[in-house]
Amino acid sequence: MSPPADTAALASTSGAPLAPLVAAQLNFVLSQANLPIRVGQIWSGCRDGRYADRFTLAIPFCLDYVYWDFLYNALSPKVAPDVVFGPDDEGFQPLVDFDETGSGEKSCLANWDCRDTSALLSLIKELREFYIEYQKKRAAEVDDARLKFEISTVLSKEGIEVCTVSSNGRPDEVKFAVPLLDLDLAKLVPGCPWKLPQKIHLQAVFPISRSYSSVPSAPRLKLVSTPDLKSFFSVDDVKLPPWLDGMCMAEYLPNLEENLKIQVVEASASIGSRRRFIEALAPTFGRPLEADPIFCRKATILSISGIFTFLVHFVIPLQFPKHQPVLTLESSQHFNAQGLPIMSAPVNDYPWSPRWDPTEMVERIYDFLVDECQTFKKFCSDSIPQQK
Amino acid sequence: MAVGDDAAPAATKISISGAALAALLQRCAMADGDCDGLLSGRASTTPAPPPSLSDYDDHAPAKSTPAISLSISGHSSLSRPSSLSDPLGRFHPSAAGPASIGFFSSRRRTALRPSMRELSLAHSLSKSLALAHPLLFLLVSPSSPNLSTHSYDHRAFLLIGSRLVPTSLHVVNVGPVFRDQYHSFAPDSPMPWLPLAQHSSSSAAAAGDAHTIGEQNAVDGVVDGFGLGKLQGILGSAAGQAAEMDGMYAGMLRRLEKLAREVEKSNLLVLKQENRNLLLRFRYAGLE
Repeated sequence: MSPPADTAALASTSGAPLAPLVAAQLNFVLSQANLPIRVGQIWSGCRDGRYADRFTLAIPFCLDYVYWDFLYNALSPKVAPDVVFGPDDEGFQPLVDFDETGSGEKSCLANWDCRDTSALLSLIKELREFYIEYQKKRAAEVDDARLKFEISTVLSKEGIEVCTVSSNGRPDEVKFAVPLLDLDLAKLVPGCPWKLPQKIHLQAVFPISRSYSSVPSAPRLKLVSTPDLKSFFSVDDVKLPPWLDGMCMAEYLPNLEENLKIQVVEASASIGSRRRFIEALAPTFGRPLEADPIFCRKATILSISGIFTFLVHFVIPLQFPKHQPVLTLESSQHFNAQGLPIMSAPVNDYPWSPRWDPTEMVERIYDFLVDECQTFKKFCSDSIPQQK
Repeated sequence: MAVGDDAAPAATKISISGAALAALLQRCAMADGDCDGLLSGRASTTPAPPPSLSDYDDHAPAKSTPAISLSISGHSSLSRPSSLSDPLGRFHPSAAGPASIGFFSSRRRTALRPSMRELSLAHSLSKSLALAHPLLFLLVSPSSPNLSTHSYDHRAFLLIGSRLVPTSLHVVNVGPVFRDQYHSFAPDSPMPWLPLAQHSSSSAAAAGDAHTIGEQNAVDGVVDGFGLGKLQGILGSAAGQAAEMDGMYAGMLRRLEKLAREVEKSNLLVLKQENRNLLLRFRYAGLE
């Protein structure tokens, strides 16, 4: 399918502008949706190709994306858009189901108003809900005793998504995306800039076993977080509890969630210790030129030794103070052939103890830098004549 | 559920004449945006070929299943998107023609898969037409990289069970393969049946009066200014007079001429109105 493009660039491939009413609805989706919806290709369905009126949207589903084509008609603005789903979703027929259950009048399509900028977002939300249900139904049809049990026990958990993964037209895996920790992660970070709600999911991929005799193999487990969360908490550092033979997700999840909760709380405490470290830089090095005020992951100070002026960049790891900050020195006086300031390699092998208080940490770094900056200065002056 | 539930999928053959396909593609290409419409044609169940025709009988193994042959003879369309259904894909019952066997949908530069609304329309149309064969759906996706070259992707589908199953579409022109369609053709003329009056020719005028206004109207629909009595004379006498025949032919031409003028005039009005509508739609959509 079409590759997803940058959300900011709403220009069609042919350069034709989106019809104004369509553009208003699409912009509303991109600015107001609490899901990371992305726009792929945009193109025109008009005879003369003057206005673009159709586009592919990447809709997040089950820790992946589904690609749906939304077809408007620029010259018939009042006609509600039509949607073409992915090639594997032939069986997804939301409007046919409406007709059979008689619930069509509740749909936002029943009273489509092309001047309502929120109309497209409502349609996407509505279709996505139906799609989640459709995939649940498909997963429930899989003929595997263990999966039937998992689905019957876990599927009621709020926000869970599930889908079947097929190869050669035959489903051979069932993928669960289980949202973990119903706490509001944004509240743990003061002054948090996140616009979208942040979540940690457990992705569990169960192979469908065709033989009844064998012991079912363990699912492939992986923690997945929303991308913005990475500056606060890295799920890659979490060690997953082991999956024992004969275990089911309902047993596994409480243990995992408890474990995870402790680590998330620790991560939020780590912000405090990073902040105290940055604050402790000021008395020794002077006020930092720049510092990350929210996650306290970065700080830069300006320093001087004799006439040699240089910057020191601190990158403070998530596991601070267990792991020490990574230092990079940047000269303010030496430039390479491209005109960029010369930088040192990242340094993280200087003396360190997590038990020192922040003031001592800063003083020890200061002592280290007194010698290190001479080495760096020599490195800078050495690299200049080489280029001449 | 759908009528096509228990239809045998393999035994359905879909054909369209080259001229009908060309007209359909022309309609799709000339529409400002997307368009849809009904397909008319006829369905015939080809019985197992009789043994006497064994010379041409190369379908002997398929004898057990009665083959359905769907032939598309034309289309009707309003040249605008979603003219057959509401936004939820429910069919507007007012638009159904008598010989509809399915519908088509044209959308520019899109995937050749049924869309959400087309699927729903297929179900709803199938219910409302109550066809004896699976509903036919023809999806056309015209694209024109420039305005002088057009290419058309198209794919035919049959509604089998709850799904639209892709089916091959044969484009045929008049030839031996098309013969079965002539065999299944039933002539149907609006001309009234006028048996020759049994009494003497002196009372011909009186006999002319005996015909109903309905019959006269039917004749007027075909020939201009030709009395029923005269027509009866031609039809009744085995010989028929050449002059009378010529007269009738001239009347038919006059009638055609008149119809053509009317069509020309009304087309002009339609075109004017279309342009006016287009301007209004432009303004509504906020386009310049």
